[in-house]
Amino acid sequence: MIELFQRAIFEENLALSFFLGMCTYLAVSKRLDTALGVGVALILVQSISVPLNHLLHAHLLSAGALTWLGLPDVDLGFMRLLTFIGIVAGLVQVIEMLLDRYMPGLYRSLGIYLPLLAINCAIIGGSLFMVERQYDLAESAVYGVGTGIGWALAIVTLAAIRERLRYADIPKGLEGLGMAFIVTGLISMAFSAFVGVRVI
Amino acid sequence: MIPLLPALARLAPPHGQLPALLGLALPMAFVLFAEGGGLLLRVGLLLAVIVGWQVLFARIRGQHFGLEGMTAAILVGLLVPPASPLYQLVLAISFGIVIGQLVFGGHGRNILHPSVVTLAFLIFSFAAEGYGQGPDLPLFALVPAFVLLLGSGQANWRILAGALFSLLGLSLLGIGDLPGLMGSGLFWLGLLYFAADPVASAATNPGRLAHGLLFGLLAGLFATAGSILSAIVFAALMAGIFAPLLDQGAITVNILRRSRRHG
Repeated sequence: MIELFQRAIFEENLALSFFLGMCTYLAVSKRLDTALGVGVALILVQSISVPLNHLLHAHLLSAGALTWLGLPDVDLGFMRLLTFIGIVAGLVQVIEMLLDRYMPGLYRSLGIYLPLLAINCAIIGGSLFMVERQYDLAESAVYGVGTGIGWALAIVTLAAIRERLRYADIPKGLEGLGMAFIVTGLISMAFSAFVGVRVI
Repeated sequence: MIPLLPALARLAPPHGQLPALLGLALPMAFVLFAEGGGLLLRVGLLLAVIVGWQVLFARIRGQHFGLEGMTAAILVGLLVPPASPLYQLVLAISFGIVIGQLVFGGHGRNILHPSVVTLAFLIFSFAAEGYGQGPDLPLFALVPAFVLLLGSGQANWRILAGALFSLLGLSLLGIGDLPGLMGSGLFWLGLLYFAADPVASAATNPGRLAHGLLFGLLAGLFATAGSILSAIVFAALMAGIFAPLLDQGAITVNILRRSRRHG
């Protein structure tokens, strides 16, 4: 379980090894405080949506899951993507309303990227990986929290580096996104060092 | 053709790199004695590639450069195996110096040590060549570097203290091989030149301590899964990546503390 958690954060980091959720990752990493906000929002969405989607998948959608209703032959697998997106979109909507009410500053600075979390591929990717790798409920919960933390760590790190790059002298053509891509590559190279390292 | 002389006129005064270079003299002598003249060939080639890129950037962008390229060339030349194919070294040092330093605006503005980027590139891309091995440097070879870098303030003591504290903690938990790491000259070389590099490490005092703690922790953990050299290279890469975040954390804590004190 600890190994799964560690792998989800470092060596299988959704942003740095699968390059999922890149649009938000690159766009919201200009400032550390907004990056932290979107990172926390993603941890929240991910830790709720992966286990919730697991429950839906195991008890409603997968082949034979409806046996408890007396319908052993029904396979609602084709509804999977639709359901997952619905769950994620609903969660993001709730978080958006909560932020608007309680943290209006952060809400405004996240702007369009908060509703865009609904179609963030890191989030939907986490749920799809959960199905593909056949995690059970506890593993899904750990995986959800782990991938959320990993993605948040990646964006916060990039944001801190980009803030420091204000003191750098970057060639015209590489300013902004170009440098973000280069730095992302370097971060991703560093994270690859965790392959094979086990804390416990 | 790029006129060489006007570009060389942009050389920064050399005194900044002197402690680092003098500290490398004994490890160089030791490897020269153990391996023969191949080392000089490698360092010369690496230096030529580095200076080539620096001159190019100096001409086009008006950057200054100093002797830091020589430090980088010696560090990489020392740590790669004697039989490494030269084209791989040329490729890796070009990546290291351009992506690791020059695109950021040159020495002092980079976020990572170019030698660390170069070695990580080699270990990562050419896994079969054994770049993770590194020479057997004895502890005594690093004593001058320790005295010079610590004495000149280029290696901050907080980083060293943090790293040693982390390793001690790990060994108390029964993880890693503390005597093996501490007794190896390679580890001290990595600690003094890579982790405690004044440009690539954290810049606030609490950040430096945290940087050292992180480096020690990662080096200890990575060493359980691989060789000492790849452990220190990737630990330094990782710690350098996190250094700006550690600094921001230290600054935020300071701001909060002051605003609480002064209302």
